[in-house]
Amino acid sequence: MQKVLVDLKNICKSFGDTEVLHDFNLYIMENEFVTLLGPSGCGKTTLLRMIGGFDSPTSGDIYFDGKLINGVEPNKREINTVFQRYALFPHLNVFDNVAFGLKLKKMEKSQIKEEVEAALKLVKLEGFEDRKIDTLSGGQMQRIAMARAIVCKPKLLLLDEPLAALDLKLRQDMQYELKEMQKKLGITFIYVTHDQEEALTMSDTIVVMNEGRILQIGTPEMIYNEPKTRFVANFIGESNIVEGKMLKDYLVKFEGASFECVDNGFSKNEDVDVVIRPEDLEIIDAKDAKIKGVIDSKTFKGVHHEINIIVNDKEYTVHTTKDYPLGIEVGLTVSPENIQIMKKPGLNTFSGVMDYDGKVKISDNIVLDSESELEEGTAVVVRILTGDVLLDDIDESDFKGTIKDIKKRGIYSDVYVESENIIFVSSTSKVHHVGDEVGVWIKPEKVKLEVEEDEGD
Amino acid sequence: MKATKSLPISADKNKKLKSTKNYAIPYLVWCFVLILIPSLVLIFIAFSTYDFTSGSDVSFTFNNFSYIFGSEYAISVFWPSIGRSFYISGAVTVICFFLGYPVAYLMKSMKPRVRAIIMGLLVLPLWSNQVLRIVSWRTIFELLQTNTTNFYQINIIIAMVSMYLPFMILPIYTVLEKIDPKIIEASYDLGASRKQTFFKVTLPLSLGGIISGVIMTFLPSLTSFEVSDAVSYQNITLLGNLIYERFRGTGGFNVGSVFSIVTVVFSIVGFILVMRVDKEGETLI
Amino acid sequence: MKRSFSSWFLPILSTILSFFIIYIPVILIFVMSFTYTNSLSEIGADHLTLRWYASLFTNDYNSLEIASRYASNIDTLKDAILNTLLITTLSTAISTVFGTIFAIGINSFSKKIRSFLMMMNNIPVINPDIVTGFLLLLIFVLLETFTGLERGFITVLIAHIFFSIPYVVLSVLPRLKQIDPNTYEAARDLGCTRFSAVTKAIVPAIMTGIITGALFAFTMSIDDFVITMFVSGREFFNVSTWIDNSMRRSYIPKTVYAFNVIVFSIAFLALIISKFTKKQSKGELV
Repeated sequence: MQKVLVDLKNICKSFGDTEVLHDFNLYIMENEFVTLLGPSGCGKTTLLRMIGGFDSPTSGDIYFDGKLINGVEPNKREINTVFQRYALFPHLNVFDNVAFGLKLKKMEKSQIKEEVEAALKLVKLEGFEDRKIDTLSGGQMQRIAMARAIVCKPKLLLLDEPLAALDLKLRQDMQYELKEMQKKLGITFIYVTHDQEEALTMSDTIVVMNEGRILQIGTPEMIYNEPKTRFVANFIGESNIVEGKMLKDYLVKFEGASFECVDNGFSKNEDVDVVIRPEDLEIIDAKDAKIKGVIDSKTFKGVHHEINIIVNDKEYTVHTTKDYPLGIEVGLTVSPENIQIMKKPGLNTFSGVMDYDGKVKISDNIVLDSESELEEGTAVVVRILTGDVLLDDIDESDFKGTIKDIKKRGIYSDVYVESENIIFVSSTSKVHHVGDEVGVWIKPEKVKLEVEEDEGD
Repeated sequence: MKATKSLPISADKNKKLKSTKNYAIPYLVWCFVLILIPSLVLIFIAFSTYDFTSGSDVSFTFNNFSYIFGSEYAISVFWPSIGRSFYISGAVTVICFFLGYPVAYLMKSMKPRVRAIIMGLLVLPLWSNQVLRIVSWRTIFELLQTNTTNFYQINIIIAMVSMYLPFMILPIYTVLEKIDPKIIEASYDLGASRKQTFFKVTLPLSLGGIISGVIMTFLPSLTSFEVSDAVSYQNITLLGNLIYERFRGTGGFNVGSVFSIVTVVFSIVGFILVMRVDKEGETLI
Repeated sequence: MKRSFSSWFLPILSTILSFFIIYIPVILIFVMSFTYTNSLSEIGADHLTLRWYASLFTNDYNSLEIASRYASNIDTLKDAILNTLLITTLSTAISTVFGTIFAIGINSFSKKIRSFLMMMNNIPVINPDIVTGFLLLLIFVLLETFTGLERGFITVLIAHIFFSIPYVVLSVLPRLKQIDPNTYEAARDLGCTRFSAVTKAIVPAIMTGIITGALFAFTMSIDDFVITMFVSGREFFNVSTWIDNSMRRSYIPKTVYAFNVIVFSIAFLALIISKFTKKQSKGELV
């Protein structure tokens, strides 16, 4: 049976006032190839540095092989790292770079030589022992960095965008080689990248991150085919995302027509986002199609044509191997299993009246701070994303309420909190229970106001 | 299921991993002790009657400051000395700039090895004792028989230029060397002549080095006392001489502190100028 | 594009003039160290001698025909020379080690904090020596009041370390910025302790910067006059303050000229050897 090698529990990390990781939980199995995927600044490198021992979490625990390693120095961890720009030692030659860790372990000279040669062989750089670092190409440096780390026989190898500095062709070759190496060595890899293609090619598991949170965990296929949020859908390859309505289970309506799909569990007539990959849309004769549009522009991409089709003022992107002339009317179709339904980001909507100093009153006792400068007495519509309604200890909150209902939404839950007959929905990953009394807290900048239009207009 | 192993070290949980940042902390303490504390002492004794040598009573006073504003001494000695210092160090700085900039410019267009040799030759005189070099200037002026009252100021300026010229050349060279040659080529490409390229591209880009060089020449020559003492046989009094006298004479620390504060004001202005163009002082050496 | 001679005329003239004005005193010291008397009127007709050099290495001044009133002076000069060599060696060694460590620390901060720390670092560089000397004098007078530590060897050493460290930091920091920011982490990752990561990975990579810094520290220390003057008390002299003291007493024994020429020649030879034998690596200043 596989066992858990790395277990991250409630990791939070702040640099000054900026929180880069929020209550991060993740476990990684032995021999797994896990990729942390996200845009720069999403916290993935910080996470890697904490596992490697170069940073401490502000709070939370890191377990490695069952032991708490929060304060363990990096030289005492059975973990090695391949750094972003390799961090090879410029004053040492290839042999001494690779032998660096072994020499510190006070290994016999003859054995060091053997191990170094074996490692160089593995990275296909036999005979490079005496070369100076500044005579190596980028790809060779990358391999030496790899050899230097794996020669220490770590249980876990951390790779921080190791291919980012290489050109496209080399990068694709190395992706394959890295995966092979991981299989051969049987070492757990944690791989950090912002390149979705790398992640999809190599990983057993992908963790998509943004703004210090996990958005989705899954196999490459799951992440690609069933993105759970708009962000994931956009980040993993190009997508057509349109608004739709879930008529009932397995039936969604968009572009004025209803389509069979494979999703269920939404409420009746719930507004949803519909995601369709460009390669899943098929161009057919307009008269046979539920969706009709006009070809607006096209680009030849080598393997396929990228065709943009305007449907009801919206642009759909289609990838097809066939070429079509510009300006003709075409139809679009998609098979049920290629339609991915996503829940819309939740929104709380209230009506309220402006009070002094940008405060907005939405009931007798519930007054929220906002950054608005609207005049006192103005009637407004208040919109707050469910993710911005924070549930907290009662003491520090704006007001308190009672949890009426909790709906699981994948890794998040929608928590329904009632206060003075007003229901607030909060999307949170923290655990709550129905009936609990909680404090509700909303940052002033998250409170969006709009002046209420008169009905008579 | 195996029970979770006991934690390796219980104190680990809250232990933070140390980074190399810690290496700078003793330096902060060191700077604090050797810069901040004496600065406070300086201000303290400038505003008090406290006498270091006798350990007399302490009382607050403005007398040390009024000494440099209202007194006979202020009118006949202090302010004229300041004026003379500015005149001399201003002249030194201007001469150093016009002599030094072309040198730095020429160095930049040399082969790397020639540059390094010129650089070495500029630093080398520092290995010849500065006091002895000043004394040598006196000997030269004696040989030339220009060691007379009329020539004292000019002699001081010449000796100071000789002393401080390398400190003008080096920062300017450092900045000039960093200018990407492609920028100069781009300027020619866009139709600028040599002269235009120099005044519109090279000169503005070397401004940081010029400011560093000016400050590194101006401040030392403003506060030098050894040159005027030696070359003018103590006949010309400059700002540096005033401070030095207070330090040599007994009980002069209070007024000496006031003089130092005046000097510090000038050097703060210089410091701010340098830091504006070069936050980390990369052009200082 | 080839440049005409006329556009180089001014820079070349400036360079010749600059070196002329910088080197006149150096050359005069050289000449003076070989002339017999101190009398200027006779300098042209003077005969050459090596006795000032010999006087550095002997105590038997009679054989060199050096008047006894100068002999005692030469003895105090020898103390000053030993003081200078000791202070310069120690302060260079200490400030090179600590300056390097501090630079590594400073380099690992974000730009904002680094700028602040470099501002602190640059205060002694920009501050006129006379003010730095006066400030250090104040702290040492305080120290004497509280601990009884008199001004002398120790205070001069501290002062020299104080003004030398900034030059080491300024020399090392640019090299640190050039190396991979993960060098320290990589060494830790492969098993180095906090200390050995610095000695085994960082120090070798920034060695040229450290050597430049050490040279700066040495140059600043061996030539220092003003700060030493302020913090040395009345008994302790280095070569600079000794010359000053002699000058104010109107006569400088020429033995010090000989010493000065020896020091200068060593530096000159070192420069020639290093520049003509070794490949010049980029960014190296001295």
